[in-house]
Amino acid sequence: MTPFIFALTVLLDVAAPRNLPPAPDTVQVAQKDSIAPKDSEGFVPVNGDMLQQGESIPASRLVAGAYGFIFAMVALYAASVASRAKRVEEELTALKARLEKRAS
Amino acid sequence: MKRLGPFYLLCLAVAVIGLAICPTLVVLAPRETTMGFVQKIFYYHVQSAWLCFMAVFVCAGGSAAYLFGKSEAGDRVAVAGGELAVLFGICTLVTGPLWARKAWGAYWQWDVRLTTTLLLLMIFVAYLFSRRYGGPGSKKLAAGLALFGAADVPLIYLSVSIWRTIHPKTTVVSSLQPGMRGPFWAAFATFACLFVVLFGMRMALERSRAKLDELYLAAEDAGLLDGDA
Repeated sequence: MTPFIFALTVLLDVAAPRNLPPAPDTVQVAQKDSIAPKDSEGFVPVNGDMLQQGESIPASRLVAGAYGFIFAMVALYAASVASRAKRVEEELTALKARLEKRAS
Repeated sequence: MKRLGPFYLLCLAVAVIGLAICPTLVVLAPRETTMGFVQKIFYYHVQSAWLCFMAVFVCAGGSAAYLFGKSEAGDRVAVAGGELAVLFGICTLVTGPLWARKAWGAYWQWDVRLTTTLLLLMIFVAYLFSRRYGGPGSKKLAAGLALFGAADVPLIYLSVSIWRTIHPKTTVVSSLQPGMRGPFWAAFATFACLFVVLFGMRMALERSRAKLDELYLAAEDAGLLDGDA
C-alpha cells in the first residue's frame, strides 16, 4: 500500500508543475550573458551554466531515482550475501557427510 | 542455522517497516524553500554517508584488532565492515550527484568533500580487492589499508569547515525545520537498523566460512582427506 501511495505522490508531483509558472523544483537555466562575478581568488560560482538552454529534469524523478537506487543496492547486496551463505552451508554439509563416510 | 536474537529481529522489523514507510514520510515532509522537492534526497543521502563512516570505523576497529591483537574475529568484523563501507559509499556518491544536478547544475564538482569521499570509496574498494586477489599475507596489507582509509573520515567531515567548498555545511542537520526532523530521524533509524541487519548477515557468513576452514584443517590433520582429488 505504501509504495502505491509513494508512486502516486511522485506521479502527482511530476504532473503538477505543467500548469504552473516555473516551480522551485525545476532548474532555471542561467542566461548566457549573465556571467557570475569572480571572487577575490578568481573562482566563479557554479550557477547552472552547465545545463543546456531550456533543460529541466523533474526533481521527483531524481528523488525517486535516489531512493530506488539505494533500495536496489541493498536488495542486491542482501541477495549476494544470502547466496554466498547458502553455498558455504552446502559445502559445509557436504564436507561433514564426506568425513563421516570416511570415518566409518 | 543459528537462531536470530531478539535485537536482530527488532532491527529487521524496523528496517522492513521503515523502508516501506520512509518514502511517504519524506514526501509528506515540508518542502524546502530554496531547493524545492529535490532537497528530499537529503533524507537518504546523509544517512548513507553516516553509515558509510560507521562501516569504515567498524572495519578499521576490526583491522586494528587483527593487526595488533592477532584476532581472527577482528578480521571477520573488518571484512563485513569493509563491504558495507563500499555499499553505503556507493549510495552516498550516487544520491549526492542526483541532488547536485538540481542544486549546482552539474552532477559532479571536484569539490574537497566530494573528492575525499571518492577517495575513501576507492580505498575500500582496494581493501576488498586486495583481500580477494592479494594472495598470502593480503589480510595484513588490507588491514593497514583500512586504517589508512579511516584517517580520511575526519578529513571528509571537517572539509566543509576548513576549505572553500560548495557542499552544504555540517550545520544543516541541526538547523532542520521541526517538520523535517521526524522524517529525518525516522530515515536514520531505518538505515541504522538496515546496517545492523546487513552486518549480522555478513558476520554469519564469515562465521560459517571460518567453521568450514576449521573443518578442512582438522580433516587434513587427521588424514581424512588423503586420496581426495
